[in-house]
Amino acid sequence: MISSITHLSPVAQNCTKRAVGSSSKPVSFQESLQSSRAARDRVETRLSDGKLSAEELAVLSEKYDPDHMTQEQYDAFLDELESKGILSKEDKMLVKNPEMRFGEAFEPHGISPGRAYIEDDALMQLKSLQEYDGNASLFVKAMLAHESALAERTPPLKEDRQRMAALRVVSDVLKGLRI
Amino acid sequence: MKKRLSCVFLTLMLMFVNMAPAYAAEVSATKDFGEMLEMSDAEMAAFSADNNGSAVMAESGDSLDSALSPHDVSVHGAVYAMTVYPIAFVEGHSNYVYFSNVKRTFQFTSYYQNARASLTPSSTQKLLQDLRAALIRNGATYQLAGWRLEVTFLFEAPSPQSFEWSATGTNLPSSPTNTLSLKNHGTSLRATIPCGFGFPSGVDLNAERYNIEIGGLYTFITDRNTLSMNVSGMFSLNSNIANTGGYWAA
Repeated sequence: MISSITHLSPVAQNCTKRAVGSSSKPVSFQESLQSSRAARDRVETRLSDGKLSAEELAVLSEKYDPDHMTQEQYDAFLDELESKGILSKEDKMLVKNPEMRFGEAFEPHGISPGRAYIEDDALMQLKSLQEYDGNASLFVKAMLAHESALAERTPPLKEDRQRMAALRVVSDVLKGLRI
Repeated sequence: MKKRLSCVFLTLMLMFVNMAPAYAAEVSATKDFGEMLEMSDAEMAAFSADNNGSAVMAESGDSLDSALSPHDVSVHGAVYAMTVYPIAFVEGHSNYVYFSNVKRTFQFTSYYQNARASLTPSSTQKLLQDLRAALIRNGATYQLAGWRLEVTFLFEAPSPQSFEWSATGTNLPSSPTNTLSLKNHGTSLRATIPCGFGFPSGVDLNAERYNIEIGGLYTFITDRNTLSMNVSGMFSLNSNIANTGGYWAA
């Protein structure tokens, strides 16, 4: 039953220019400059391998608007992060497939008891990017919140922790696109 | 003479009425949440006596009389829902993989203490095919491995204590017993137990019926006694047994 399958080719990149937003809250030039520098430093620090430079961030921000993305644009954005080495192939698969879950390993013809839990509160249902009106920042934050809630319910496995780390990276890059 | 006969008849009627709850494992639902059999301490004790200890007096030396409560106490141990997911081993992962949207959930509306749900051979194969398709979409190198079963139990008592559970399946070794504490969650709660099951050996996976099951001993305290009862959820694959007391959730 083993099946070997090659990767599907990435979806066509259908990118649009980022719409320029305006802030409703007035801030001084100095505050704005300091805030921008701090945020950019934070993004560059988080992307610890230094694989995404300020210039690359700027190029990405020209192509992607974190507040308005179609599913195709979001997928292309993740493909681009993979091609730049920010996400591994595995990271991207985990981020793109929140419904892909993992359970503890077992021997063939064996049983793997999972972690039982009391259902104190119902988990928030995951919504699609479309349901967030294309706001990728919100969408990724919601996925992170969902993963955190799951992790509180049962101890996360290695893949769950990897997914959360990858989501944080994507969230940081999206934040960086605003700068 | 006529009066004596009436008394005997009445006694027999009362005995029958008292025994009825022991076999009334389910009650038809009239509300969304469903309804469950109410069991008093006395009924629990009677249930214990009639079911060879499937519900037992945990405290030694207690007579049936001492289990009687001055008022009825709501006590339930039942299966609320069962969800089955096909699972696979994927290259690069030591843990098994499943998709949260490739599943079948049987939602009970009548709550059974020992519940069962079945998937027909065609539905079983369809679910495995859906997993294959999802893995192919993700470019994974995979091997189908078995099933993940999640059983959601309903526990209700003045003081739920614990659920000692284990998992088993056709031609599979039983898992070790695990204990889930039910304390400090109020008098009514739901608990979900997930378990991964490998495909059984010696079974034609395309046509032959096989079972997977999670169950155990629910222990609770009533006014004066510690009592236990067996609760379990069994899922049958490749089975044409009709499902009753619930529906397949969307």
